[in-house]
Amino acid sequence: MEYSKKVKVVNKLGFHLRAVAVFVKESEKYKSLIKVRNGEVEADGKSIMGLMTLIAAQGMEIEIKAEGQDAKEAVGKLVKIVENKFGEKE
Amino acid sequence: MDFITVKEFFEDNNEKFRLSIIAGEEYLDKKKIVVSDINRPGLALAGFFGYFPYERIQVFGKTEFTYIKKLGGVKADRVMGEIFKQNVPCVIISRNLKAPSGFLSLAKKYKTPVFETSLFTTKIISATMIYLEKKLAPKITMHGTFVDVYGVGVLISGKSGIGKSEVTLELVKRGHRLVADDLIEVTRLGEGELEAKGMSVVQHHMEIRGVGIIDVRTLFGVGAVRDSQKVDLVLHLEEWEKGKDYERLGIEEKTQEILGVQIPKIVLPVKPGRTLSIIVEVAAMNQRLKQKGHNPAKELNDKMMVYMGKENK
Repeated sequence: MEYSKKVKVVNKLGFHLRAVAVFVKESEKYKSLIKVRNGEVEADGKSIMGLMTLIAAQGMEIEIKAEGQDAKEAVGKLVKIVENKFGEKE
Repeated sequence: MDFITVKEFFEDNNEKFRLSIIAGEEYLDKKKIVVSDINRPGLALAGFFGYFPYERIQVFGKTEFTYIKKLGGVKADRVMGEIFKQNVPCVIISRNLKAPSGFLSLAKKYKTPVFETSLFTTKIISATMIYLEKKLAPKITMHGTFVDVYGVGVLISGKSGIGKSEVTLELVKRGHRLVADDLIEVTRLGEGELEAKGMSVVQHHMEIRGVGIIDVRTLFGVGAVRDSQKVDLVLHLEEWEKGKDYERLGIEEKTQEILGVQIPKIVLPVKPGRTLSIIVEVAAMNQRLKQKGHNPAKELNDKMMVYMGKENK
């Protein structure tokens, strides 16, 4: 199963280190292959260094893609994490 | 990349190529360069427009300007106008030559940026071509780590969590050099050659599970890293599957296609107790031997054939 969804980065610091760690902690729970794309760069959604490379700042739109049995669930949950500002205040 | 803007070309090179803008500054970011070739518009100046490579940067040197001067007056204006009319990306004047009268006003009229440089015509042409070849070369990003092992560029791929970073770290610790971890930008240079490097921000940083993020350059020194390297070998790590056929001989070479180039590929099964870094080292050395024309499996087989032939007599 393949599933993907676009989401806007809303937290102030964007995909900074701590945010990426929160993201990866969740993405690693899923069996699906997870990819995150920002513009032309696509990174492994389970890799901290990869996600750092995206340089996804506040206001940018990224795409979260998953492929595998739990794809839909994974994308839903990960989108929510981005929307909820990775649990950050601003 | 499909194109670069003239502005990008200028900003990347103005110091190195000693470029300065003498006309059309306002059109820099509207003009695009799509090919790496350069044109000296000699034939066009002589009036031949049957084929004019308008998409190329046009370089005017002493030959061109001397010819324009010889044409003089109306004739000169007409051919210059004809060239600018073709919507060329930009014009470079070499040796800081003084443009003939009317040249710059025509450039402005047809919204074409004009640069001048103190370099000689052939120098500026070769420098520009080298730059554009690199810049316009086809590129893709790949996942994995990229290490220089004994001068062999080894791209290690595999699922996340399979241990790519760990093997890479072991290799660095054993004196090999890290090029990139995680996201690798691969560029095709010329025909049949790939070069890869890391992505700027995080290059030479690694994430090791349990330890966190490390800066390889500070930790191991500049000798442990390099910025880019040719891709010679793809090493794919995967979990050891019982019953799956793994390479036992190495007579036939498997390859992986990257940007249309076939790169030798090895699939390495991962199992506890296999010291992968040493296997990677050996694979890299073996690859070097193969590149130099030796194939140990084939040679052993040939030797056996000779031996059996003797025994049979």
